[in-house]
Amino acid sequence: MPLQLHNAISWVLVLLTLAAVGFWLPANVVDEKGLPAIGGASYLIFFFHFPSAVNCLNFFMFAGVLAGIDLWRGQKDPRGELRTVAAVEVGVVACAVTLVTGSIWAKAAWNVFWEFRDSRLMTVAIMELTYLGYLALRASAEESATRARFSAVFAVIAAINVPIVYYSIKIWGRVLHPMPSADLFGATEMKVTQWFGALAFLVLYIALWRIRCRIAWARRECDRIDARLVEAGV
Amino acid sequence: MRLFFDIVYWDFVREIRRRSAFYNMVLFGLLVLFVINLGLDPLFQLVKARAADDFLRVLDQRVGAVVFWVAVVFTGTVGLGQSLAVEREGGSLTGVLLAPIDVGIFYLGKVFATWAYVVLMEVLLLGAYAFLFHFDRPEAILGTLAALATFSLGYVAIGTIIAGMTSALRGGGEVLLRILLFPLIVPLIHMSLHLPAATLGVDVYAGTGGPPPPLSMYLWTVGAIDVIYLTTGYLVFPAIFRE
Repeated sequence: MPLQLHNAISWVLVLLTLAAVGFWLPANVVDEKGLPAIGGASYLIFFFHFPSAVNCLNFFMFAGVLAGIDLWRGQKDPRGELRTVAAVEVGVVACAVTLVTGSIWAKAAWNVFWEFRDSRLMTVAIMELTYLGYLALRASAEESATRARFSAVFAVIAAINVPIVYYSIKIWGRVLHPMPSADLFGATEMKVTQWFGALAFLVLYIALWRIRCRIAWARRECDRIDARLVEAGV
Repeated sequence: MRLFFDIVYWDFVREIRRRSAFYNMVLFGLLVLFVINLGLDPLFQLVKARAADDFLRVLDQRVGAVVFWVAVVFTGTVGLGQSLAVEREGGSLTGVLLAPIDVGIFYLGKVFATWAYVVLMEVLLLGAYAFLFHFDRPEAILGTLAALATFSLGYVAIGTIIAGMTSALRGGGEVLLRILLFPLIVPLIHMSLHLPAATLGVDVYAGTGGPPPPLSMYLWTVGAIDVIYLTTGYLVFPAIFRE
């Protein structure tokens, strides 16, 4: 699919999600006692928070798979490395969106932006720190071949660690925050908006990934031409 | 198999003979214990003035257990940072890579040698902790040692891969080693802090949820994670040195 069309479709899908949140979903959720639940109207941010959370996991795992394939093939094609980096960058953005929207919702629902004892917040924060470390590793390696090797190895390890972090904290974390229960989010319009949003954001993030791949490739080609010109004494 | 045991033996003997890395680790661990407690002292003074002695003792035990684990995690990075630096500086790494041996076996040998002296360091640190924190629960020692040994294997397995990369970077990559390693080992630390057997018999999270998990569950779970890390390391470690 041409990139411009892909990009346009993704924004239309995101706008449709926004429309569903604005016009289809109830403005407030009440619990069985009729009191505003999960922060009242602030729950609507969930329909942007959840899609980013799901897709940051998708992109981190995707980066690990790309890096594994790249290593297995002996890193002969430079596009393998660029694709992995682009996937990590998109994952980091999705993770940042998850953390920011989650914090905004937490402030409305629990009156704090951050709760260290909350296992789910910690999971996402640790993943973000891991992949910010990946970017720091790339920035520290000066030679391009070393950078490609090390970052691919780290992407594989980090991707293997993602499910370990997720399940260890989920199983062993004894301080679980009051997440929206199935009853509160059980309505059909909510389920549909939730998963439609996840799909819309997936299409959007894939478009962003393709854009990042193109930019990285163009930059690499510019550097190569630049180096040749310097060699030729131009 | 012979190669593996040779690497483990010689690496362990060399580190013990060289002493500097081992001394550095133990000294660093002691310093962490002292410095953190220096920072916590005002808190204890505040609590002492307002709460009963029993409460203060429980707080002291819980904080002490966490401080001990913080010291273990920070101190281990000193040993990890130097585990491959010696080979790189001395040029013997090139010899190892040129030799007709499986680099994965070299990795496993390195891991188990580093693991042996990291565990030794932890035992010494446990002694220092027992002395400084009025430790009076000898029945918790075995569980703590079992948890430390299992935790350390995964910690060293992942740390050796990271150290293999960061030691090749300009300036030795000491800071980067910690930046990359700590998020990766969070699940292991998290599980350890939830297990009273691993935290010197203290239930750090008491009163915040269900009953604490048994030691056997911890050993199986962390053991499985160790195997995952070792297998991953065995597969990806040669790629770090591929030229």
